[in-house]
Amino acid sequence: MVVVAIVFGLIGYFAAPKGETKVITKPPTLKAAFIYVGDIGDYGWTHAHNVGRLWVEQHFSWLNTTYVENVGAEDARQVIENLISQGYTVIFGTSFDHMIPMKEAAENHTDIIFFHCSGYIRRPNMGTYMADFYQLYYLNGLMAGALTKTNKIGYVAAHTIPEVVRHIDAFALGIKEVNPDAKVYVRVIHAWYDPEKAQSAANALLAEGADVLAFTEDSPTVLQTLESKMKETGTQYYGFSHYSPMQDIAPNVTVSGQLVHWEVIYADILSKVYAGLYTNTNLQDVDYWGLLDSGAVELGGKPGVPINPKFVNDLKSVTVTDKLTGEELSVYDLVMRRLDQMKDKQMVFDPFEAYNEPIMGWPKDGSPEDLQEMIPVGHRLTYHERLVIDWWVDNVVSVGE
Amino acid sequence: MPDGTRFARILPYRVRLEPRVEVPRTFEIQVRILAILLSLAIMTIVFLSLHINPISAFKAMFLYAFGKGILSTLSRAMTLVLIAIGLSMAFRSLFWNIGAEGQYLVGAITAFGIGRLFPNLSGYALIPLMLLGGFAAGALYGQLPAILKVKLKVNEVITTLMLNYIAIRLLYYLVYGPWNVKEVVGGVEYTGYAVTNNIPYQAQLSTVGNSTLSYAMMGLVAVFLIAEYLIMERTPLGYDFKVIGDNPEAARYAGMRFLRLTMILMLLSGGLAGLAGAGELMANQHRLRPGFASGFGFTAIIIAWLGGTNPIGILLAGIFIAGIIIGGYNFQISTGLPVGFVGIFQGVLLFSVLFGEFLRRYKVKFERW
Amino acid sequence: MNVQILNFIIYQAMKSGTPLLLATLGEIYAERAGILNLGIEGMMAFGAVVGFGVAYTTGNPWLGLLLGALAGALISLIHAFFSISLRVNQVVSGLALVILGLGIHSVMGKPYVGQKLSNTITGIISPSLAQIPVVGSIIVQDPIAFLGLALSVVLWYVLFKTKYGIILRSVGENPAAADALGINVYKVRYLATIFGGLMAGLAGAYLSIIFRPSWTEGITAGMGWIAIALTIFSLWNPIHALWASYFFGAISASQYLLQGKGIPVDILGMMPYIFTLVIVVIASLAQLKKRIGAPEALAVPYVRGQS
Repeated sequence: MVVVAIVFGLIGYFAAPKGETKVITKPPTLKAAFIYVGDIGDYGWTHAHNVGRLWVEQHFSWLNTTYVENVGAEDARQVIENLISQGYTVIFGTSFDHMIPMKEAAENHTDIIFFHCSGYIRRPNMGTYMADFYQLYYLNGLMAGALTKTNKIGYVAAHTIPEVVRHIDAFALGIKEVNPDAKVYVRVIHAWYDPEKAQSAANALLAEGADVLAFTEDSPTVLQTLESKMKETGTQYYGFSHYSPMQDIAPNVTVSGQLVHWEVIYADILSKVYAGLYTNTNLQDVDYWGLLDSGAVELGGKPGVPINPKFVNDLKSVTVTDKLTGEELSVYDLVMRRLDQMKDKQMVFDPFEAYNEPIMGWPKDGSPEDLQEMIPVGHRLTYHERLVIDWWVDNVVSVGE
Repeated sequence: MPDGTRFARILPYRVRLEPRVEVPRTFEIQVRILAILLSLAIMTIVFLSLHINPISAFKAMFLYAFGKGILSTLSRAMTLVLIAIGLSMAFRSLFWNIGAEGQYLVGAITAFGIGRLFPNLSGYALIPLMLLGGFAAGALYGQLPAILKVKLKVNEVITTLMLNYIAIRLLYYLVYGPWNVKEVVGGVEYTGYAVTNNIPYQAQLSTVGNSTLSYAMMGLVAVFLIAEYLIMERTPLGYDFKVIGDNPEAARYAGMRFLRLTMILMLLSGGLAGLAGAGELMANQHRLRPGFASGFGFTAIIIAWLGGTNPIGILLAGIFIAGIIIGGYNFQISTGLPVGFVGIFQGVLLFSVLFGEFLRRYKVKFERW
Repeated sequence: MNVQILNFIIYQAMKSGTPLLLATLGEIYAERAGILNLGIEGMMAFGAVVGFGVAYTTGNPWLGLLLGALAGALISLIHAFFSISLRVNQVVSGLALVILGLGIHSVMGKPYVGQKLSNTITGIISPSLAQIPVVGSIIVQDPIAFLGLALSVVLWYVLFKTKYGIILRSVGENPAAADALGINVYKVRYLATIFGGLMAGLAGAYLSIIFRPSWTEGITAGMGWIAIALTIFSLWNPIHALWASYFFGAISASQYLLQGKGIPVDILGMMPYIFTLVIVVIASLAQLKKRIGAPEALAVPYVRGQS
């Protein structure tokens, strides 16, 4: 909301009539196009981007948007050419697969502004943006560590690209802080969306004894699996929602989760383009990384509900020591405290910082026995180190790779 | 007892189907055009029933694709047509190669691998090497289903289909594993992402203007269209293919010859799909990624069926289908309607073509009871 | 191997295997009558969207299952008409059906995206029943899985032990002879194809209503193609289809148990398909030796008066 206020202020400043001197001619509308890799109906990644697009379209009267669904890397270039020929001057590519086609289009159309999500190639007319969940996963981990009864926590992963590794590691670090005995098991399904595989993998983890599951997959299947298992056996299972609000789909097992608000980033980018702050020549170093402090991400399985009320008392009954202050407090209070600390722009706390002892881990292409010091005491991982993270925290004991 | 179809008893007339003996060339073309018109008519009805203006829908679908976006359409058409040439030969011999997708993939994989092995080779050598490698890989990948079909009578639909899935898994393994990206951008090294490095710069095919339409692909398409025509119409090989297609039982008795013919057939069919994969990598995408298989192997089936073994037919059919695909995106930009309509259109088109095939083979006579 | 793991394999085998089984049983009947229907994926997709739509609008999941099945039957009529009456190439007709079915499924599903069903079928929830070793959990959870199991037996009986089964099989083996005996070949083939569509539609509706009761596109995810493979794998015998589907489900599921033990994930991922290939080859070898095989007239249009 602060962002919006600043934005409106900027616009007001530029749009307000100025005495009798210069008339600033601004194009009446900005035409922005959004390229999606999936379906706006996937209730996952693309759906969230579209929600962001709808927000900016509704709130900015000077903005006209359009979108194209199901565009893979093979057609992205063609679609971009089409959009440019129809007068769109800002183009958003919302999938990693759009990176190379977008880069090549940007090389050929230096007057158009491009923004690519989840990639790393930038140009004077191409910036990047991303919203990351690692802080949320850390908070989820605190809860997971407190609630597990079997000390086995599972993760169903789509692919082990750096983003997912980062999330799993943050999750593991949260777990470790509350429950050093708990272990994390990762199963890879190699698909961003595949309910059948997600269910199989989830059930496999449960069969191996896990009672808490988190996941990266574009459907609520894992939570639904937990919910059914609970109904059938009467045992309490715990799960964490991912990306879209899934708590209402599985209210008895969803403890918390991760939510995204792409509109925060879209509003910032588009208003800056409109105000002339972003041009086709100065985007080389523009790289958004939306975290808790900007409001681009939110803790919870449902907007406005960081922790499912059903589990609040359980979390209040487990105590833990705050590694920063040495204080004893309940896990619930620790989660809330960390949430505030990470929302703060100063970022007093970061999960990827070794405070009292080094953080040990093993390289992704090695095995759990090759434990090494990954973060020495007093060091906080740099942006780049966490961007291309390629190691697992030591309590991640089994990864399907 | 009357013959003909059962449902005809509802009508006051009975329907008799008389097989046509001879089909003039022009009739073949007429029937194809009829099929296209029929599918347009059905789509019009579909649009109208959903309160969509068919004129603006068709305009959105075709005006850009064959107008300003013609280069995009042609670029997409080249890859599809190349695969379709191979498929049309296979289908003519009743070999149901549903595995073009997998053959396409191994072609792209092999081409990429060659580029990785010889990154400093001059473009004049590297490009033909990669294309040849793609062809060879696809050709080899198609041999197993061919041998299994002839020797053990294993249904090729299943074998080629399973090999598709296996090829996809192989691609995943390579992209996330040994061939994973490791590149330095802006002084920073990036790795782990779901992509490989670029193919060597000199292997990137040059294209027309800003588009992804490459001269090399156009050349290959031209060469193979002519080759297909020559093989099918002017060589004993093509004659044999047709014989197998017209009389599969007799072909079986030919024994060893049947095996050799089928293997050569799949060499060509798989090879072309593999070549298309290499071409797509080198002209358009420049890198491998897990989702590289984008369904071209299946789309090409429609083109092969629409075009028959006539090279002009295949080319035009390919351009038409490519137009629908590119048009489909434009459709969405202009009308806001889902891209799913493209699938419906393609399905309707294919059924219309089948209907046309029916008309081509039978004369429908209405007679009073 | 502890009990939990065993339970998991069996549970998942039945859960993942049930949609495959239903579709396969339908295709077996269609192929036994001589009609090759590759359009299973499209029929399942159509059944999934219709089933979900009905279940969502009426709040009644059983109605959704029923109408989803009928939707599959309806769309299979297209293939039946083209294959039987128009005698066109059945491979292409089936493929066209896939493309059409998936397209319709995508467009029709748009309004339901992200919506979930308020009432779904969760079976007779009785924890004590669930204690029955091995099959307890799945039967309690999922009446359709139970249906699949029951249908396999029933359909096997009908196919091999009843007059109707003989009629069906004769139409597929030697339609001319069947015709001479007064059997209406066209009618039998139509019915068999429609039955195949009914089962495929049911499988699709099962996926969207029970397996995962909220809508997103693409829920069939290639299962239709696997069903085609399983039809051959099972040698056109419903009882074999039963364990073949479950076996396939089990292989798919066990890859997750084997993860983390050093074998690359993707090699494990190839397992189900390599297995299918191997089994199909073995089945063909068995065919050659024991002369059990595909119905002789499979995919050959029947025209009276022509041999």
